[in-house]
Amino acid sequence: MTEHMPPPPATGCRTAPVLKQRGQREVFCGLTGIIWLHRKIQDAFFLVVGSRTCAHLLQSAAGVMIFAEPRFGTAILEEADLAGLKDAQAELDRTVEELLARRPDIRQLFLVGSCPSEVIKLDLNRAAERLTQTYAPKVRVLEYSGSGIETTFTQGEDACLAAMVPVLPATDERELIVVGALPDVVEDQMVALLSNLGIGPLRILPARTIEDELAVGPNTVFALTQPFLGDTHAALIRRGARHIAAPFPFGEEGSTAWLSAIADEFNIPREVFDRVTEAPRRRARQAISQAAAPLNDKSVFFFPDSQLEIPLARFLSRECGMTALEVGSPYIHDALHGPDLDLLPTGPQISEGQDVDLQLDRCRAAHPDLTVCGLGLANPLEADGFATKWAIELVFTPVHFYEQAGDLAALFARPLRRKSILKVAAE
Amino acid sequence: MKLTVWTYEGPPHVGAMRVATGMKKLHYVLHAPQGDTYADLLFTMIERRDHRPPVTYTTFQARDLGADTAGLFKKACQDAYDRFQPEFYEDTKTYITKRTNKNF
Repeated sequence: MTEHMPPPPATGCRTAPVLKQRGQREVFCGLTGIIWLHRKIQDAFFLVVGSRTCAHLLQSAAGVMIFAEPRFGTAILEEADLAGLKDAQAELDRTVEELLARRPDIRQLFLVGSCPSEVIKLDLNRAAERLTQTYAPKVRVLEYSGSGIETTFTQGEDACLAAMVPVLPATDERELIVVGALPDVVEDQMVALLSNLGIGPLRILPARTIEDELAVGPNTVFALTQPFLGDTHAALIRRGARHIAAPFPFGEEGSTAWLSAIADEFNIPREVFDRVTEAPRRRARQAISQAAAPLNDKSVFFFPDSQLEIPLARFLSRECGMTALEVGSPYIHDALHGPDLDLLPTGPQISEGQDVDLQLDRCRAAHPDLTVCGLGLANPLEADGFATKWAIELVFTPVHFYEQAGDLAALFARPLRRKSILKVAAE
Repeated sequence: MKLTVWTYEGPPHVGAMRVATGMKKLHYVLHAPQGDTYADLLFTMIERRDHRPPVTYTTFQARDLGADTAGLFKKACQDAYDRFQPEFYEDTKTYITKRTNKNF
């Protein structure tokens, strides 16, 4: 299966020492996940119960212009709510009534907890149960936390999906659930690959609408497409489902290893696997070799952002000829990230959490050819002569599976290409 | 409680950041949860400035709230002073901080 790839490294980074630091974190909170979740789940509304800061973050993160009324909003807690002068539960009932009267298209409502709602201990679980009773069967109300004191960036999606798992109907069917919000076009490619392999029945979490709902039980197996779904992983296991561990489907190697792990679970013959994957694998290899030329023999430094860092470092090391100097991730889960760490050649500093000033010192000392970091750090590092890749693009751009493997390499190559053009122009 | 589907109005501590970015030899310590650092990108990306705003965030998490977060704040101030050597200091509490740490 991996005849085109170098053999796995003898030890990999799974047992490498992890640098853990505590200090200023330069990351988004979990509310940001609403930006892609509201597009993915087409009949859902995300109501943040929070502050003006939460509303401003969503506005800043979602882009400056919103042309239509979006399927997310903020119930802003005002002074009287925070001081306990008003009954927050009654206020929430009134706000939800106002919202649902205005948006009859909404079938699922997520109450999203924030820093202020958690600090004043507003019980959103109780609110969600009460509101579900009020609006059932037309609208289902669930709650999760996207607060900065609980969640880092992509953990918002994890918390949302984990909140859906306990209310899924039970089943004894042997089914595959693929978990993670992918762009529709990528999800369709993945479904085609798995169907061509003869794997099914296949369900996807999150489903696009409440009508497409899936069930879960002791004969369910599941695979994750995103490396930040630790709580959802745990919630599915609590429902009796079993995880198919695999490297994440980035690049040719990751996509093949991910599909292969599922194919093995469903006893798909090797010749079927080879026949179905041969053409897309070849296309992926060709696309990567065209796009990755500027990356060969270059070094890369990852600041922690989305938990995609470890699988992406594996892709850049093994398929693009790069050397990772530091791979920072907000959180590292062995059950999720272990298979990618096994394939990541030893050498880089693996780090979890962040003290941003100390990490900037390490980055400047290491002097990487490419730095993958958040938007708060990119321009200042560029001004110091570092080529940077905005980490958030890796979350918002279709990058999974074979047909996107070339685009993924190109995302990393672009800043290096631009830097070399600017250098030539300056000479 | 007030339903808002879009807003261009920032919170006051971002206004204080604007004051800080307009001055020299000043450092601003913000006692704030993780995620409030999004405000940095208003300056580094939207305004395309070539340096980070002179701001340090204490980045407290849920597990810090069981105890007094004053120690975290003091350490952030000391680290910021040692690193940036400002002549002036500005500190603000976000809304959350006011609620959680009344003795601050």
